[in-house]
Amino acid sequence: MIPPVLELRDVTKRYGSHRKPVWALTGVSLKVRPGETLGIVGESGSGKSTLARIAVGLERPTAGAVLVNGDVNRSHNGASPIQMVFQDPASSLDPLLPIFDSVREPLAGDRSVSAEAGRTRVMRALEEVGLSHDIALRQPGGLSGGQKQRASIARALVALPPMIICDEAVTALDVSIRAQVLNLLRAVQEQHNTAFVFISHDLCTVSYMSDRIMVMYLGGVMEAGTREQLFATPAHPYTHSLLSAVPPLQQGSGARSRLRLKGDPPSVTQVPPGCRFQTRCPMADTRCRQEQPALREIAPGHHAACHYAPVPLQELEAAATAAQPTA
Amino acid sequence: MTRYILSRLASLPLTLLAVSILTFSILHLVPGDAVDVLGGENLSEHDRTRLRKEFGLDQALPVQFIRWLGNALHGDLGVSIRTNRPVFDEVMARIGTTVELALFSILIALLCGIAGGALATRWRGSWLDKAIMSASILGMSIPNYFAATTFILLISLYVPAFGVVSYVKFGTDPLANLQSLLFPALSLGLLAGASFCRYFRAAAEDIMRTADFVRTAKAKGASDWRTLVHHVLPNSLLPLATVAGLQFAYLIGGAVVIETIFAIPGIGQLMIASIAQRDYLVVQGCILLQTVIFVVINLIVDLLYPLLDPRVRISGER
Amino acid sequence: MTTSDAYDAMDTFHGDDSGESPESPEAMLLDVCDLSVVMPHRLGDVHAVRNFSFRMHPGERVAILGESGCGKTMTALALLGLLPASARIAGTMQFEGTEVDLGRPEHIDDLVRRRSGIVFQDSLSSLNPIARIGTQLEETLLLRGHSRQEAYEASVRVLARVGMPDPAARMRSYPHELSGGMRQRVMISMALLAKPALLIADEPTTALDSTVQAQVIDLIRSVQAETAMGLLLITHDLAMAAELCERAIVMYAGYVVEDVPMSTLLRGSAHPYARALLAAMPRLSTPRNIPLNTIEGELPSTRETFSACPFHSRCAFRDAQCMVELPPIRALGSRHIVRCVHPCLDFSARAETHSRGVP
Repeated sequence: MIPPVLELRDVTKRYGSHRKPVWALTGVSLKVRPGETLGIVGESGSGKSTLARIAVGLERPTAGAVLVNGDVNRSHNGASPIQMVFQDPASSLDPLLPIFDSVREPLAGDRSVSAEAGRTRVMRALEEVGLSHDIALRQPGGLSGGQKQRASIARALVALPPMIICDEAVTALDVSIRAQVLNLLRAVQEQHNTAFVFISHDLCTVSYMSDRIMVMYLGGVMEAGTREQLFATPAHPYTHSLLSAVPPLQQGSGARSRLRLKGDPPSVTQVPPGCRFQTRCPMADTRCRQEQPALREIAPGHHAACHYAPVPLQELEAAATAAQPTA
Repeated sequence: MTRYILSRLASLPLTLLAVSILTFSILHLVPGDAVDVLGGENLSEHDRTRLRKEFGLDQALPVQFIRWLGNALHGDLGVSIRTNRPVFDEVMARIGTTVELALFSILIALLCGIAGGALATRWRGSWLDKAIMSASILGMSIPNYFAATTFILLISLYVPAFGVVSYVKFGTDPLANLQSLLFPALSLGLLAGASFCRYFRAAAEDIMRTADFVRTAKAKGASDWRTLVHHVLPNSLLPLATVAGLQFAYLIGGAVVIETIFAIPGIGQLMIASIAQRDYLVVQGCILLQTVIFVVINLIVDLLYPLLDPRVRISGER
Repeated sequence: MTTSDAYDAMDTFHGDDSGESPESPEAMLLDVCDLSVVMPHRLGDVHAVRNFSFRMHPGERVAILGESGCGKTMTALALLGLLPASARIAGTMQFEGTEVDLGRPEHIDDLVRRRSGIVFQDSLSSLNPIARIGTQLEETLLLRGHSRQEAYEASVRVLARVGMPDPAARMRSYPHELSGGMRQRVMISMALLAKPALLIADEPTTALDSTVQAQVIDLIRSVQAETAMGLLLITHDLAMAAELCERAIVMYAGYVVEDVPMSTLLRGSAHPYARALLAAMPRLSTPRNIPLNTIEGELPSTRETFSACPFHSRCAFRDAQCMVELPPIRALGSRHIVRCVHPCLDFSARAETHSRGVP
């Protein structure tokens, strides 16, 4: 049995002191198989970036285990085989280094790769991402956002990682460039059978890129399942709200009723007892306020953390309209 | 809040200890001691030895220091060799004057700095802006004693009636007091004001150019003046507060020359005289007091920040 | 009355436009003719906006669409006179029927700013960090001669209208104490207080979470419907534009490349860039097994001057014709213009070429 490329078992991360803790992640578990893409969707405070940093070894979890290819990840400060592509293309490349040197960096600590072999790998990676040789000699300052992000992807590729984590990798790019980079990521996956974790707040991009999707809210997993399960039969009220928040690209949809959440995502310093989503859920009741729902399987491979999951959309919409006297 | 204040003040004893050791050592590096100064050349060797023994100056330095430290912890900073009065009294008698002079100077500095900076910002690029900036460079380059002596010269020549009066305590005659401190404060204040002016204008310019809320204000229909006064200037005060605090602390210690020129009986004058006469204990006492004031002023400035910028919270405060 | 090539073209359009009615001659809200903005820079002048012309009716909802560097934000800032003094602005504008001198900010202030509201993208930096929300809101009305009391009451009312919880308490808050969504509501309130004829929203939801974005979009829609003010939405997000606007102006490299009713844009617009942009956006229903349609190449530099079509190097339909000169504006309908040598005309109603070039 091939072990999953990445496995998180009940990972928890706490920042701050004992007296004033900030629970960035609570009890998150996931598995990503080789060649698979897991999409993680969530708003600010959901903990998705913390999750990425822990998966890649930049931070240690407060509790729980991180396994890479079946072994407990003993790395600290990013020596894990898993590579990452960050959101801001400008700040993730050293402004003083030519692109070639930046891309070569992950090979620096690897003694098994000779200088010559390293050079070849860098050239190949650059070719794969579509950056020409003369661009490789330039510093990041002269490159466009799309080119910089390609360079970051080349850097992630050069160590031939089993998995690449993309944390909002295309968010900062223009629409026409975004499509190019997404296609590139898909091509890379096909070519190398790399697993991906694709993190974004944009449901459409996540939907396009992922086999399985995990919805996070305030440090916990609300729903997880295949892409088809989540879009055809969403089970959690939060998933429903995220889906209805996507503008449908049709004209004159104003009159269409849409599930609206009230208020803002709460602060991570004020996680309510019981269900995390209770403050914005139209259907929250006493049980939700007292008892935290466990992530349970509602269909094969489809999990949701809600006492009443699967929740049909009509029921949720009815509850939402009832709660608001004025539409 | 109280915890924060206390934790800041907790560093004081250690600082004072370090400062006193340093001062003590440096003072004793200077050739000659009190007995040499007091006695002059005609004192016999025998008498010198006797006097030294009396003042305790014959013992080893560390021993002298420990003895001093022991006394200091009881509040006894020793006795001035020069005047035979307790050091504590000498210092406390004069500190008020220096603080008053420093306050007066800072006030002038802030007024000039903010007014100059505001005008320069409002008409940036114009001749007024260039004139103010040139004047401020001039101000920062002129040594304060030069300014002081120039003032004295000019007044004596052109406004003798005004006169440079000798110092009068505030309690005795407020008006005369202010008059006596005016030119000393101007000498110190105008020059400090010059650097405030530049800081202020730099901060204001930066905000006007880059801050989005300036654009919002204009979009609402605010005039240039209103934008400047209501939005830009209050935001430019923040960096100025730090600089002003440091300057104030510096003035407490550095008014030495001005006090001497204008014959103001403050700490500075006391220090100069005491160093010349190797009156170690007085110097020690002065420096200790100035250290305390410096730390307290920094603390006060930090506490003022939240008033100027609501985004700043005292660390540890919830 | 100012005219422009574009509107000449639309006015003289004689083709079959499937029953779309010609523009009614009522007073225009905004009539911009040949607007150009050049920002001097030591590395080369930046031509931010080039030959921008459009007309807007009262109550109309228009989106200016484009990616970074296309000039959409600069256009809005030019209309409100908020560009830095070094900017060189050419062109004319009429606001509510009165001629406005774009070179004189005070003139713009009286005529335009007093009657418009603008909502910026970054609400945190667009609000004075050391002044309370209430003070900043009241300022809008104090500047228009209202009393302190009136300003206070109106501010609380409008905060309630935009759905701010506990409006009176929020008046005393500072910007950093509010979340992004609440701050954006404050910005909208500030814009609304002046009872504007025109609301300009520049990427109002880009910095917000998706569920909050949806709330703000709903708010803008309901407020616009209630007040019937004109809406000029500036965004790169076509989906949001489709939610809120009935007309789209697509910009590229500082030029208007298409001005089209939103429904037509979504069905299949004429300019290759606009079509490609729409095709490049993944939707929830986009199948996974096909690569996304991309636009090859990079966005153009704003320092370039174009003697040919600015999009031709990236266009799938380019040919020798496109490199001859900058394509002139042509009308494809009484409300549809495009700047292209070969616009895509494959909607059934326009099977024959009905477009006419401007003489």
